[in-house]
Amino acid sequence: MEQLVVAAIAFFGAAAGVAGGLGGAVLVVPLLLLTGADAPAAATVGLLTVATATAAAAPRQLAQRLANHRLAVTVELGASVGVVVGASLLAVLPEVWFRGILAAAIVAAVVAGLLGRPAHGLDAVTLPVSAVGETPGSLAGAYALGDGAVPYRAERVPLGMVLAVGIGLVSGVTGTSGGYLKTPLMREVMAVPIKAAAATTTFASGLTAIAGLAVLLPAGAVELPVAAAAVVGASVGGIAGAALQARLPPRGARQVLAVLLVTIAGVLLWPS
Amino acid sequence: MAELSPPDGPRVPRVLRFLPGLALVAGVLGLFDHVIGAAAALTATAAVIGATLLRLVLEVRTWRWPTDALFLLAAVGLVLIITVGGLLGLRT
Repeated sequence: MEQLVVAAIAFFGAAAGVAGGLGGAVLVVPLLLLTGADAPAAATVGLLTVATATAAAAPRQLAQRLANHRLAVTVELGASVGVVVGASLLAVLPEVWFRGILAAAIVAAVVAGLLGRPAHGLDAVTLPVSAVGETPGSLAGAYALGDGAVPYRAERVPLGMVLAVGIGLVSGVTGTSGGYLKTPLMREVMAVPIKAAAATTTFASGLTAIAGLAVLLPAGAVELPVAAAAVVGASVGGIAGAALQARLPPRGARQVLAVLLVTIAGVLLWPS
Repeated sequence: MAELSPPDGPRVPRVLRFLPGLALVAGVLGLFDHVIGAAAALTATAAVIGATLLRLVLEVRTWRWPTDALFLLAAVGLVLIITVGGLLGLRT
């Protein structure tokens, strides 16, 4: 793979993903595939894009205390098993299967992005602001809103962990973060408010990426200079995407990205 | 509804602010085809992976036994699964 192509695609994917709110890897992996990369290489670059985005988001997230690390570790215990199995399967998976699973993941990301419920007007402030953070010994916590805090507690945890195994499998096979499935999982199945679910997903996706990269990088799926190109492209793209996000109407940007992704999914499935 | 206004949060470890920048600079150097480039590319990759692993370690250090016993065990399990993944990758 040409470094310049990888850097350009990682830049474009991270920028469009951040601006459109659908994640970068789900765009990076199919574009790399369409430029001739093999599945393990495309998945590795996708996971590096995810890891870069998680690293960049960490300082802001820690300051806001939105992410629930206990919840992330619990969900990832299931997801990481799926990721390791999925990434291990990549070397033997026929490309037509890889393309099919990736196209299904893209459609899932688009549907989850377009159908996601708004974050406003759902939660009630019932605690003082000093309650913000995680509750030790439980999958509960509170996030800041105005002058107070909104409490929450994760429900149906065993079911959430089982479903996370499947999400991890998709992540490992496709090289995407699976965040487009994890946030709905935490929100709809585990009853975690969207703000906490989205922030927790960002951290959890970083762990997903590490589990997948642990399999793919030692196996030599990409050369180091290609990995560097992915990190550079994703880093700069993330900054550009954040700047774009402030200028674009969120719903319009999401719809444009959705059309682009559905088109890519169609091209992936088109018989070559 | 009021905008999210985080309270005075915990101090963010300086190293977590530093690592994304290090990854970018090392990544740029890693694009060049020489010995320093290879080391820089490795540094860039390690920096983005290390940032999240370090964040995990720093968080887990604040958890207390026995209150957080289940989550401490889950964190150990997670590290074990990642290690097994690495061993599988090395065998491939």
